[in-house]
Amino acid sequence: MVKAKMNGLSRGIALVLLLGLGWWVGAEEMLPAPPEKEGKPLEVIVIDPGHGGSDVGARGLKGLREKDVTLRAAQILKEMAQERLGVQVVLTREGDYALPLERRAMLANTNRASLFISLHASGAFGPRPGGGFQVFSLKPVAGRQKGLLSGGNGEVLIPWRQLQWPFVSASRQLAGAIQKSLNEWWRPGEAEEGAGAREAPCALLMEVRMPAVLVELGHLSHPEEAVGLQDEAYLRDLGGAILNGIQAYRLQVG
Amino acid sequence: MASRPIGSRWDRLAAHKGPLILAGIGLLVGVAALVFFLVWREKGSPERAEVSPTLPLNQPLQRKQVRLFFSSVGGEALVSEEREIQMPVEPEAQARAILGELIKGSGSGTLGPTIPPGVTLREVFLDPAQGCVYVDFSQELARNHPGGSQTEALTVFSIVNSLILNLPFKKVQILIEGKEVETLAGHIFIQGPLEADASWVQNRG
Repeated sequence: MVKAKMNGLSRGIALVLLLGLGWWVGAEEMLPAPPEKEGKPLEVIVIDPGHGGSDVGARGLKGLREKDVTLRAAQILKEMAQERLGVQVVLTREGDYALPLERRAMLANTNRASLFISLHASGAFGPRPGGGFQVFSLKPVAGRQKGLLSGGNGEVLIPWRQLQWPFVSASRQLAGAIQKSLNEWWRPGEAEEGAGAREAPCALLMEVRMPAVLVELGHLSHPEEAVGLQDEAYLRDLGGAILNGIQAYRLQVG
Repeated sequence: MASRPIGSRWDRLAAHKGPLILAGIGLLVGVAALVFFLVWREKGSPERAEVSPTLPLNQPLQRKQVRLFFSSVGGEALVSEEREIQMPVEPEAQARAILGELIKGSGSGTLGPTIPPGVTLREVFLDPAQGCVYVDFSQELARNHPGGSQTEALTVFSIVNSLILNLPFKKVQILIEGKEVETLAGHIFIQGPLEADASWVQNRG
């Protein structure tokens, strides 16, 4: 009788512990901080030129195509980052070919990159889009794989689709730093007045296991930005602002 | 051997009434079939009886004020627009009515669309147990989309917010041609149910 009660009590305690673990691992901010996040020097940055090949992306004024703009911007940013930061830079694509989102994430993960920067440019429904840049970090959605798995020795196993979860906070910080730097470059002294970084359920960022952001470089259907995004000097200025943001982020995290 | 005389009364009767009896039986069968058909039509077939509770043929309508979300002029946020529409009673039909208005676009003349041209709503399915509504659009929602993370987010959350903020649903999943897709144009994840996101909404004024 007493033994039966003890068994029941043990099962109850185990259930409470399991529920507690489930709650704990479900809270993204409380996930165990990965060691790579803190204080590690930048060694590899993966830059992802959005779209490519048959996936043209957004189309803009005078036949401007997002896949071309992102590739050129990524090539320039790669060259500048190697020069200024002394890091190895890997591009997810080097030419005009299609690359699935999961392949891009896989390339970043297998290269064990310190940061992941995906470059894009916006399209618009109407003829009067607002201009400007927009930097995104991931807003997690639980989807079907809600809840993390528990390993045999108490370690937490993170499903592929949730690899970004432990880095949500760091990515938010990186997005904020790059957004501020872009705003500052565009309107010196008015960085705080500009748009803030945003969070969205970006599919690409979900599977990346490092601080990761998606940068919208401008609107392809905005008359001035469409011209700028085809200009080498403009893209170099944009790249410089992104690198300033990365450096500011590195100072913040130590 | 005795035999009935030819031209007896019986034979004469049989000769005259045989066709009459057959005609009478035929008439009775016909009347019975007609009565059965009329009763069956009044009560409805078993198949119709199953369909009618979920797909009423004559939906009662009532006028209701709804909030729909369209793109701001600059295309950086969603702005709500109030509109009075004819609202059916049944929840799936309500979702259809809301999305129909969203596809029509803003009536203000200042707000921009969030749904690309040529899009039609194919099906709506409500799963009450999960509080989730599945909305199935034609392929034009992806194929005609102008692209860009921000523009794509406006499309997704104009649909999700307009449904959740007007109707008693908690989650919305967008399907294309009856299938789950990862994104509409390569950016925003829609391969699972989404909740309303007020961070995309900007106050007017």
